[in-house]
Amino acid sequence: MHPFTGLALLLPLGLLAMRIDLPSLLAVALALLLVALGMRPLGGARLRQWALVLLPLALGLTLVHGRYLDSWLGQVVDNRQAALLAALRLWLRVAIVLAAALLWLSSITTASLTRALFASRLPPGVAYLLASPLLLSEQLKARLAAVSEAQAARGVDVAAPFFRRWRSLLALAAPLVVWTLSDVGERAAALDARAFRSRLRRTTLDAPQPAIWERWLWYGCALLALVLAGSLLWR
Amino acid sequence: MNPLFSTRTLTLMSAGIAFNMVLGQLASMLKLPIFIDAIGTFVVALLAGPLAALVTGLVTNLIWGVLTSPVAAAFAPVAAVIGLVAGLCARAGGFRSLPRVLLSSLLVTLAVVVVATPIRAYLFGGATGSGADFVVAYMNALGSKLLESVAFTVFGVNLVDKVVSALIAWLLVRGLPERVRAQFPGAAQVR
Repeated sequence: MHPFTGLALLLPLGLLAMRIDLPSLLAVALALLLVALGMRPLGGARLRQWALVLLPLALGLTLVHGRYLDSWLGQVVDNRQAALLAALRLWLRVAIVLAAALLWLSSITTASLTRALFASRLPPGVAYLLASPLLLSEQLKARLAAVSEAQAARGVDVAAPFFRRWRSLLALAAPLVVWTLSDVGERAAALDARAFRSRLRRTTLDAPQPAIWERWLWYGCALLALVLAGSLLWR
Repeated sequence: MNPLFSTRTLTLMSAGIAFNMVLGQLASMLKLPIFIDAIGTFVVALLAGPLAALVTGLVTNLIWGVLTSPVAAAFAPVAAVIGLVAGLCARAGGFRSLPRVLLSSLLVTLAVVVVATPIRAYLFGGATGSGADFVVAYMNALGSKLLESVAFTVFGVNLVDKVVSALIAWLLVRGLPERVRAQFPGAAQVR
């Protein structure tokens, strides 16, 4: 499946979740998404990632909207049930969007997304800006590991007491940033040498090709998103 | 038609986005209670100006939103405003001395409060799942409105983070070799 197909489904799904008010319906949709997510390869890790965001959010929303601190401070709280129901609805909507996003992520790889972005109809500069950080961040992580090892040999201790760790921050960040910024000119020269913005669209070898039904699905999703956004504004 | 950004600015923005994505890991590696996920945006603001920094911040959060959590995408306007205000401050000489850098980071924090507060209050009900939710709940209990409580919390959480990010970016740009600084006209405003 083309990487953009799942992405195209996300927007109308998010808008649909905002349009539905019934918590039970939202809960069913969430349960289906979580089951689908759990069945994917590395589903357990994705579910943990989901829980790490959503469980603290549930606690935060309960604390803020349940107004339990008011009760502890001796104040009377009216309409707690209604406030908690609204908070639950909000939580379910965020939970659905995150679960759907993780489900989409489980179906793609960074490499396939990068190739799809480069091969898309986006102008080359925009495609580069969206795709190149994905490639560069992997390089930077490797560089950060190299810098950390080199600085550790010079006595920078990442497990030092709190105030010394602040000094380590600059000692680790500076070589990484200077190293990468020194390459910027060369990268730009290499891109210019290839005249990467001379055409309106890039030509990419091995570009992922969407099936005809996927193209129709993209257009359908865009239309559905427009209708749902309109209905939300109308309400 | 000339493109909006030169190829060099484009590659700088790409590096800035990657800095934002990677340096946040550095903070968690050092177990520091800050995000520092906007240092790349500050660096771009100092070297290439407000528009490039605005796009850098915006794209950082959009990529994060796609790759990690859509919550980050919701805060993309906040990241964009950080870049815009930091770039405007840099253009106005706000990164020429330590007091000016501190004042600039305060202005960035105030801009963050203006943009992030409604997003956090209306889109996420005032909670984000962090320890700051307790402060929001406590201020609510003391009689503040949700928007006030969230604004106070956002200010408190972001002030230290943005001061540290601005200081690090300033020190990094000041410490760049002259060969690299010469590639970016904006660097002349940083002393």
